[in-house]
Amino acid sequence: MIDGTAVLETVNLGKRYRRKWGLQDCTLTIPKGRVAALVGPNGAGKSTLLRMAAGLDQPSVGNLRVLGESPTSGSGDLKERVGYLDQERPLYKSFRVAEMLRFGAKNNPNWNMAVAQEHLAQLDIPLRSRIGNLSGGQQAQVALTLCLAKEPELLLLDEPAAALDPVARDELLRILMRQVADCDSSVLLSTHSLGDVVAICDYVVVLAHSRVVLSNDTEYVLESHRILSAVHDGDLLPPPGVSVINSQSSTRGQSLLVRVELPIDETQWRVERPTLEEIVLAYLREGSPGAKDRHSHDDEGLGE
Amino acid sequence: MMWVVWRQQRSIVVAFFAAAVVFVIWLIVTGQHEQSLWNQYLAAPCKGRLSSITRDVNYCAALEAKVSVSGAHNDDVATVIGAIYAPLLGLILGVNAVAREIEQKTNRLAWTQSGSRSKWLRSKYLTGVTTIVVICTTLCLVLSWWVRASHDAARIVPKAFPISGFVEIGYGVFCFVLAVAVGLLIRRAGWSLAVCIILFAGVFLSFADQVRPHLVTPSVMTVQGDQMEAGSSSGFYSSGGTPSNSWQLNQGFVPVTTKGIPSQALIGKSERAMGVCEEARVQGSYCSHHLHLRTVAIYIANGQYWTLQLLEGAFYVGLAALLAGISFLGIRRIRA
Repeated sequence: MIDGTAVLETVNLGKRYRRKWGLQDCTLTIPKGRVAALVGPNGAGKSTLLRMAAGLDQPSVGNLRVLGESPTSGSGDLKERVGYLDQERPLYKSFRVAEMLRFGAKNNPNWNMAVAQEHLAQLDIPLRSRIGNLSGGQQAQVALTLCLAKEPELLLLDEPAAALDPVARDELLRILMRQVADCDSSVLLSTHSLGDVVAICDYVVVLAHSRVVLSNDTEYVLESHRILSAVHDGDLLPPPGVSVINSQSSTRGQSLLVRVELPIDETQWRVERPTLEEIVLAYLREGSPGAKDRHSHDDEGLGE
Repeated sequence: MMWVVWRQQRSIVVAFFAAAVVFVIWLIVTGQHEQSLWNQYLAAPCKGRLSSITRDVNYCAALEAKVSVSGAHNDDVATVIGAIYAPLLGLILGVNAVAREIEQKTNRLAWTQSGSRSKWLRSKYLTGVTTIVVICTTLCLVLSWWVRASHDAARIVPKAFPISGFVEIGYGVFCFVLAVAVGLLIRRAGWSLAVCIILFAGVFLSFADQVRPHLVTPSVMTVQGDQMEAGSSSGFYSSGGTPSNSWQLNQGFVPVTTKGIPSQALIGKSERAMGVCEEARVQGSYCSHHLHLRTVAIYIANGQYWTLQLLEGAFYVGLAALLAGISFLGIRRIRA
């Protein structure tokens, strides 16, 4: 079911590369006007999802709608409305910066040259410089400028801050926030930095092992998760109405990160609010191969 | 998009254009020199090989040697450079246009702008093909003149045919489209270039050897024995008695009653019969007379030259159009 207010919607989306799934059973909805973070370990399928959303790859199974259209239709109209920043920051290395801007202007009817030039001027990137002579961070900024000057409705950014120093990273986050505010753009960015997620994102999608394990508003995610801790006193069962996402035991006690479905009325557990980082990490740990092994061992133990 | 493609290809085009200019200058200088030597050789006192003035025999022999050596050397250089120029230009432009771009992942940048993939590919074709046609047409005009001026080989023989007309433009266009198609498939510039060189060499050699001789109906003529020894009286072409500017395909013995173009099998059978007869130490002329055989030469006349150029050019351009169509169909489904 397509939601008119969603900028990106997937239903059982999957992408198979020969024998391996790059993304599987991906069902999620990114509402309009959000800065959504796509978080997950390497190989989780973040770039695959973004490439399919940008129309660069075709899904093997499932449905994908971007701004209400199928990106695989190759519609020029949709491409005008979507800005995509690839992980590799592809730019024509022999071009000058000004020529890259000309490339953007020639290929995008909504191109805002003033925004592009102002952005690059703020970053002290000369228009006469050759792209190949710029640093990796500067090249990333030029690539981002090409996306922003399109003034798209949806920005798809694959690890936009990966090559940036802390100052440039902070600048990038500021620019993104301004873009959302000024142009009413929605953003879906993949990142390994949980700090970035906390700083600017109001929606979070966690991918692990090519599957979506969490997808919701950050506020809701924060409200619906708790850390339960107890001093070790034998095996303590989790309270009713919670789903255990991740558990950690030590000689000093037991700690659970749980998703709360009913109000917790327990005196045996100490209840704390987790940070967004703790929640995301818990989901990522739960999806890690080590967690799977642990669970399988647990299952074997239960079986005995 | 055309501007972007031109900007990407500019350095390659400039390099090839500069090479073409140097080559054209070399062709003009050597062509005029050879034409001058040839004119001297044909004029008195030598009058080609027809001179009977014994007092100038040393001068004429020296002039003939000069014409021959200079012509052979320049001809090798011009044939090699002329034959590889257009295919190499096409291959490098084609590989750079697609495989290099996919390798550097800049196609992802281009394919996420407002233009479609088909438009992107169309601009590559338009720019590449236009560049090849413009540069190679100029080169072909000069090369055609040079082949006539050098008098080293008839324009229709396999050695001169690829560089003496406009078929080279077809090679260039085909190579460009081939490199684009292979680049879309292999996605690596180096590997694409290597595969394309092998493919083009295979197509070119197969066509020249197996197809071109059968594109037009050849002519047959009975050759006298002394003609076979003497060759042409108007040049250095080893024509075996056929017209000096023709392309001799075959020659051998056939029964005197044979009409039309004799098959290779018939010539082979007659040759074997002659061989058996000659092993008995009998004179060749006696054997041919005794076995009722005559010597024939099968050749393609100079008058068929433009038909061959047209048909071969159409083959390469047609193949290029087919490959371009497949590439247009495939590009929508290709992974970025």
